[in-house]
Amino acid sequence: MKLEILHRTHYAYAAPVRESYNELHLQPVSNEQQTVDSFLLKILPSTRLKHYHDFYSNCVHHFDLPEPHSTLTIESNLRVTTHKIAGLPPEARPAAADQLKEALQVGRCYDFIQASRYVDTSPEVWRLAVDAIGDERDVWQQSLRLMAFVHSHITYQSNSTQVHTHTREVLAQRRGVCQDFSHLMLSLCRSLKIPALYVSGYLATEIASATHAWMEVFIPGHGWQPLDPTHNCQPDETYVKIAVGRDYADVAPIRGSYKGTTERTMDVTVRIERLPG
Amino acid sequence: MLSRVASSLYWMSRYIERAENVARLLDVNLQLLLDFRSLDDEKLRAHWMPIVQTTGDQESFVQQHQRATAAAVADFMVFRQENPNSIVSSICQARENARMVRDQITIEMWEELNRLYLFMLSPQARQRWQDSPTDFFNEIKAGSLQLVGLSYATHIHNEGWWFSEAGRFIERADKTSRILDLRYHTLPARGLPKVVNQTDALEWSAVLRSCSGWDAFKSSYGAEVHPRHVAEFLLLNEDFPRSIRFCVERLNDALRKISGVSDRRFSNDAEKLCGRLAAELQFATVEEVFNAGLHDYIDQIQLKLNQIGNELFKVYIFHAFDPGGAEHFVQQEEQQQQA
Repeated sequence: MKLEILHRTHYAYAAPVRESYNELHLQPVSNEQQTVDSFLLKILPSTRLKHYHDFYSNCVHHFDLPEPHSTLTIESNLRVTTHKIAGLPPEARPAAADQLKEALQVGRCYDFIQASRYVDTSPEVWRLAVDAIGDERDVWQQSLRLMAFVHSHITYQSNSTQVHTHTREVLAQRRGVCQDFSHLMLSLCRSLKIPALYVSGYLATEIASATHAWMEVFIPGHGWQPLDPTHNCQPDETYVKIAVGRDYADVAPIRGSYKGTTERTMDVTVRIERLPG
Repeated sequence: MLSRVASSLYWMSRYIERAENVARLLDVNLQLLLDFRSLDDEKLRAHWMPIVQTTGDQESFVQQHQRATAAAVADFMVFRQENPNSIVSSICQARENARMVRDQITIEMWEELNRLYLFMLSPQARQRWQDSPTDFFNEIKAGSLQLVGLSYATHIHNEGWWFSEAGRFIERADKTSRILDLRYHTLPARGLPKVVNQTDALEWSAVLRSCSGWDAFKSSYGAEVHPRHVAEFLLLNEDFPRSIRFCVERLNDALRKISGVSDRRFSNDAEKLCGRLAAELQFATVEEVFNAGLHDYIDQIQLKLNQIGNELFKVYIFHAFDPGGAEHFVQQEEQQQQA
């Protein structure tokens, strides 16, 4: 599927601010599931954009604006082609749970079974996970059950949480958005020592006003398999992956700081268009 | 990169360029004296004092030396460490700055600079100077040119290298303007000179040879040396590497490469002033220059170059201390991932 995506973030400050330093996770990866045909990043006021690759191989752009400015616009224009890749079928039973121990020694799984900033692996979460998987002994089936559990346990409600909400608050109020659904799913998987990572990206639906979040689990012998707990489904070619990490803190689309007034507004526009071909 | 690293690279190449230019100045003017038949104190003073004045050290020279003889001036401007603009001081300072950023420059550059430094402080330097001043100055020039070449050919062209380019070209523009200004007292205050006698022509060709521009000048203007052409060549020529316009344009490039901003915009005051100066030099004519008075015009250029140098430091190296006021460190608002 060919997609054209515009992602614009506009900050307006009540008084000119200065010494703004920002890091962006906006450039998608190119892998077997998707090919980035073109990617253009624009910053106003114009400044030099630099980039590096972080520990999870995400391309991170960064820039600074030392001079006073009253607005900041960050716009990314993206053309990407997503491919249909067959994931594990929902009935598969590829790996027993005791194979996880060997799997942890292969590949970079250590980070993805630890607690992280927004995700913890407390005893309460572990108990919920154990109840959710029941007597399932296969890792893939366990993951599917956990995803179904998250989907039914939490209600999707916009503006019920904010960007720094921790998993324990989500559990307490049982409401959230896709970022929270994914964090909770990570929490449950990691408490059972199933390696799970956080994915930030876009979902090509008719109404998209922000980036989307989903996750991936590691199935021994089958690598990383994507799962979307918000919609209780396996991501297909309408999903565009930008970056991966331990949780939102590793892949925030825009993060930075500046010196100046705290009075500011942020407007986010995401437009996704399907191109012919 | 650290701002003190940028500052050291800038000053290292600036001091190297300074040493080379002082050597050029002294070399040609020493040779010139050979052409004069009789030299009395008055003629010597008239010949040498402008040279001392170009480096702005007239007072300290007068304090330390009685007569403005070739030996006295050369000693003052080559070997005196008390004179901060002498060749030995410049090389010492260049080496000191290079020492602070040894990890940024290549080992060949350091070894050459160190060799030049050790040579200048050794008895061989005075001996070479006594045997043949021209050979001595050629040694300095060759060392400096080797450093320029090494910098260009082996130093990675990163941000730090552009700072050293900026230092080199700002110094070269400044020193060329001083060399051009040497003979201003033979010119009328405003307007082109009418008659150019042989002595004047010789002195103007000495100005050209100071800048290694004699051959290039001859190919552009022929063998007749008129101050109008010399000024046009050294001020406004866009292809001669030591002309002021060339240097300011390269300085402009270097500033743009450091900040990443395009040629047609500016992101700080140094770029603004440098762009303006480059535009002025691009669209000036030599008649306008002489109508304003060559000396005054050159004074203005030197002032502007100083300003550009100061702004460069203000923007990149000296961070103004901010008493703060009602300003805090604020975190940029983040987007929640919702779809």
